[in-house]
Amino acid sequence: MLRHHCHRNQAGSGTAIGVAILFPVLMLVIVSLSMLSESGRVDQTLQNIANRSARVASLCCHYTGGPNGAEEVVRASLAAAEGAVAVNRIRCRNDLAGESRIAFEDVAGNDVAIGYDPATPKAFVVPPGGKVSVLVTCRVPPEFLGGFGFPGLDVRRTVVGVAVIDPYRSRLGG
Amino acid sequence: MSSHVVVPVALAVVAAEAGIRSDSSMSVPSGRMSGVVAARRPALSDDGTGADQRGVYAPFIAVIAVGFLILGSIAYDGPRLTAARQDALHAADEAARVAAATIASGGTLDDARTAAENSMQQIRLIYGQPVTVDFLHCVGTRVQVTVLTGYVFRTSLRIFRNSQTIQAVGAAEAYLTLPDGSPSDLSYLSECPL
Repeated sequence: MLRHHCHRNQAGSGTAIGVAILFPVLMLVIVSLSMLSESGRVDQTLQNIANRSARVASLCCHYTGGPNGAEEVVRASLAAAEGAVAVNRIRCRNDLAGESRIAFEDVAGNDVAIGYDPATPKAFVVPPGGKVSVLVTCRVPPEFLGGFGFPGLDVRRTVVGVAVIDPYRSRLGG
Repeated sequence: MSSHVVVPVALAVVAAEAGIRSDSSMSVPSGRMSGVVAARRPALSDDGTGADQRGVYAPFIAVIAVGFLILGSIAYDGPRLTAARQDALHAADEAARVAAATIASGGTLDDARTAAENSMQQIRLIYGQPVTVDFLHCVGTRVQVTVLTGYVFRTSLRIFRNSQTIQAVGAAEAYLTLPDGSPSDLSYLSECPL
């Protein structure tokens, strides 16, 4: 009778234990799913930023560097991507514009130096028919990954945007 | 000493309620009976019916695990597929831009296609998939290029299909200007009749 009494009091305890075990696991799975999808979104956003910047660099300028040459314009484009009005933006924990790099290659595949020197008009010119690559590096804030803060989680993503430089486009000024 | 007497009696009652036969093999001295009974006693249900409910969660866990595996695969590959499509669109736009520029500078449609294909060789897509020019078409000053690439699934979605073909269409419009910077009167490119 004593045992019978004990069993009646334990009614439903199995389900409770099951739920107690499953609940944290479920939460972990849901957060993981969110992190996975968010990671893809971060990838996409960064790639878009890099592509856009590369396209701007391939169209905008006569010189590879400054003042207001391709490098400066790319940094302005990257800074704008972090702006409050940008759609699908991402706030990186590093200096997105400062730590990103831009590289030019001519048709033969040789690197073209970044710079600006009005004294030598043929130097530092954007190579027509070549390509421009923009490497964007972002330290992804942990809040983005699942909407939860994961202290110690330091994710760094680097993506490359490439654009071909239109050989026929007329480029004036910087 | 009193505990040696009480415990076997209580267990004997439980054993009787559970339907365990009290044969001669169980006729052991009272001090050892608890071990024998406990070893042969089936697990009791919460309602005391005696049905063994061990492992009832196993099918539940199995179904849930499969469900989460598929959900996880979608959560991983879905956004990546979207990113790959977005990147293919960028590649298509690049190809269209190069093709439009080639035609605008006096090249033929074949020249434009070759230039677009060359540009696709230089483009590096987000997940490293090759991209090719599928179709090039132009009307007036507008050039439209269709490119083909793909996305290879990396999760259990490969059970259903290994990869997905991505087709992206990009368009570019050429505005012709004269050497002095003024707009040209031509309303269409030489290779692209209206």
